[in-house]
Amino acid sequence: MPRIDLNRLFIGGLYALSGAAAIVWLAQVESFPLTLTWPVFAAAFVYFHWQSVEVNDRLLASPSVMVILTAAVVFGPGQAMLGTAVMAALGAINPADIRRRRIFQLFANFGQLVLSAVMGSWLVELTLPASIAPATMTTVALASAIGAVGYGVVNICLVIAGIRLALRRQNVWPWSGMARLIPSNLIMGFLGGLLGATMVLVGPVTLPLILVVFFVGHLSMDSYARLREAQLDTLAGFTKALEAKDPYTAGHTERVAYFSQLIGVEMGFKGADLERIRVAALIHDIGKLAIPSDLLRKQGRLTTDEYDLMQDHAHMVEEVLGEVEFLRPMLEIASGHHSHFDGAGYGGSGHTEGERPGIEARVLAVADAFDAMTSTRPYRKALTQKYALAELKDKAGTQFDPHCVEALEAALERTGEVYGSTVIESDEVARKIAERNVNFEAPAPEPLVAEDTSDGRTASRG
Amino acid sequence: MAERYLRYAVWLLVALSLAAGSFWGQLAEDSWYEIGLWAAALALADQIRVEAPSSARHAVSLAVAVAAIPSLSDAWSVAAVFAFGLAASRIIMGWIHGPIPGALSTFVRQAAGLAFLATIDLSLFALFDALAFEGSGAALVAVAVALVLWLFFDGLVRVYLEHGLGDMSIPFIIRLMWRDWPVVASLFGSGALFGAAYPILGWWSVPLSVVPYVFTHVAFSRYFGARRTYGQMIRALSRIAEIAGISDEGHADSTASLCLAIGLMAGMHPDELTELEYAALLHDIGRVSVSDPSLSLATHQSAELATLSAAIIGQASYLNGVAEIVANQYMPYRQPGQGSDPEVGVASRIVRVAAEYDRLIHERELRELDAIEVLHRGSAYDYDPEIVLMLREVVGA
Repeated sequence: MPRIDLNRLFIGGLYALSGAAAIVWLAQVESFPLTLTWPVFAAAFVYFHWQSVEVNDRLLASPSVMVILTAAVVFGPGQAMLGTAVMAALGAINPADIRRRRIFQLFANFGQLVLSAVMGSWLVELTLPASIAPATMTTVALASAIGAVGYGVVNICLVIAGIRLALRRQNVWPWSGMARLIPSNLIMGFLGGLLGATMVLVGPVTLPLILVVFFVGHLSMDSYARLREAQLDTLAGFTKALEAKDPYTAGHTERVAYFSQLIGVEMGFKGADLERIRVAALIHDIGKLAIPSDLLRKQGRLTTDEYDLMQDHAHMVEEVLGEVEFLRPMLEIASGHHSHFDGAGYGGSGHTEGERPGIEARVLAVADAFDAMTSTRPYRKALTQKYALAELKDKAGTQFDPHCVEALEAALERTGEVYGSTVIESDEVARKIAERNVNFEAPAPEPLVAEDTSDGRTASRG
Repeated sequence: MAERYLRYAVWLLVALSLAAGSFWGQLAEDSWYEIGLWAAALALADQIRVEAPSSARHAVSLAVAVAAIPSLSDAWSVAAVFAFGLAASRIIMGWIHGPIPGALSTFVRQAAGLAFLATIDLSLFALFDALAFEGSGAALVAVAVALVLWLFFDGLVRVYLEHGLGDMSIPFIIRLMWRDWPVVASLFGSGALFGAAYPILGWWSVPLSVVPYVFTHVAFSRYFGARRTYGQMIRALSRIAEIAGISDEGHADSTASLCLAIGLMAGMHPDELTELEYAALLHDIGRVSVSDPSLSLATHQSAELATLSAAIIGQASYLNGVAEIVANQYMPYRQPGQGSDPEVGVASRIVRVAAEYDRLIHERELRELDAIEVLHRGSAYDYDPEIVLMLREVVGA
């Protein structure tokens, strides 16, 4: 039995009550559109709403907005608000929420969808011309576009407010994100108005025709989204294989991806740019799969040959994945994760001796080094977060980009999460403890990499 | 980059000519203007192709054809529009791409498809007229019937040209013919929408039918682009063990091509062939997670390796089918005293036979017939004799 959060219950209840009150009130002032088209609209809305595809793409608003607006135009003043409100109410009853007992979502969605639909239809009712004719098409389309923007604004405001109030999370969605939704809502609304007018003028035959086109497009978009996910899952499978081979890196990839996201968000990366860093983090160590495991697990000092071979992993990722088109931009980032801010270090195409690596590679380098220090390695135990951050700051400007280090610190402060050991303050202490601790699997007194210690760099092998 | 702008320009021209066509069309029925504009729209839309599951590239001109037939007044106009349109399209293509190999046969195939479509549509309209069946219902029925018949006509031609109909069963042929329905349905839907709306709405029917189609077109190209890169990724990942020197150079690749050849011979569906290919490429990827490299080379085939490989593949739920093929690949196809084990699918048996054959040829350097002989001797439990026979035919031994 999950813990009942009174705050969430209250907010969800408030939303649901407002939605229900709106429907009850509309039932007094409007009549219900008792036509054969209503169930078709309702089915289309429910389908597109339940099957909403999440693709990181601003082009594609869900066709469900279009369906609401088409219905509003077809029903017209006196029926539009009630007709679309009931459609929205049906759409809110999502079986996935019921199955997972997400009562809050269910209640909040109900209110949010109903109120958005009422807003959209109300604006349509206000601005729709007295009669729909080929001559008034522009006005109809504009009315519907206005309605769609109204729908979108109410919808997103209620979502943001709901999450902020109920989950007490402030940085859920920047308000500026709303601007991104307006163009696609405008297009969908415009199209909805056109379709509505066409249905009135030409006949209901146009509805199934356009729905078929959208349905097929929606199916493909859904398959596309699933395939994108599959690509990442497949790469994750190989990362897991790496972890099986080198247990010390267990969870490393995922944590590096997480820290890069923290830094990226803090530095103002968005959408596709942020995604690129995440994928680069997921593949940054894949090259290690091509490195013999005994070397990966070696606890003692590496010979020069071994060190060279170990360095290969940074550009090996390009050798392995170089032919995969969509990964190319990420490969450069991934292959530069051992490239230093001042142009030293090593790597593949993302590293040019003496030149500053790309910003994404700098983000990844900080995330990678931070996780390497705060987790236990064959050659030493985990260090504390405080020590790791101090070390990063110490090397900021030479090995690491100072902005990225600052961003990581700020982000960690904001999340309040703590990584690494709670007691070990320094590499030296860590080594001493490691030497004494017999239970510790990898008692490795040697410094990380022979060559690197001379100039005091915080090198990590991963 | 230039190609992209060219494509945008073609889209724009299609939209403009459709708009102009609907404008002029209201002045005079089937004037030469109108015929010329429909033909221009057809020719331009023909430059835009959309990839379909069968990897055939359907021309968007199909949508223009669907829109044109009900909008024109008689069969002669339809014929004129198609003839001029297709001819102009070939001239534009030649101008853009230079000579294209096999252009004539695709031209004939496309012309036949359009003629077939016109015949169905015009006969349906005549039939509905005679039955006094009109309005929305009639239009919808006409579109649906034409869609299904055209899909089967084009699918049959495609399947015949690609595979020949040989000994394929009818349900299997129908499955192959039906593959492209989403793409064809979106083209028919958009075309029919334009055709229905244009007499009343004029140029408003352009955004009404073009915008949803563009959404769908983008979705298709994203999907097929992702499918291509997914294949690239699997091939790339399959080479990790070779790069690391713990697997024989080219083993995954040559096993995959053998599997594809056997799979085709076994009459597998193209979607199953893709799974089979992925399974062949990744069948011993588990080596990369074996910590001791000497061990990973020694265990060239073992149940353990199959399990390890399947575990890596199974991380992506999208590849569950592939993981199952790989997991079962080391299972004997039958147990002593029993019949063929239904748990071990055809794909797993193919991978088993092909992988072992490739190993015998490349690692043990046997001659083809000797390798086949080894497989024949192992046919009691390990290698399905039917698959071995197919392999024998494939390698021509």
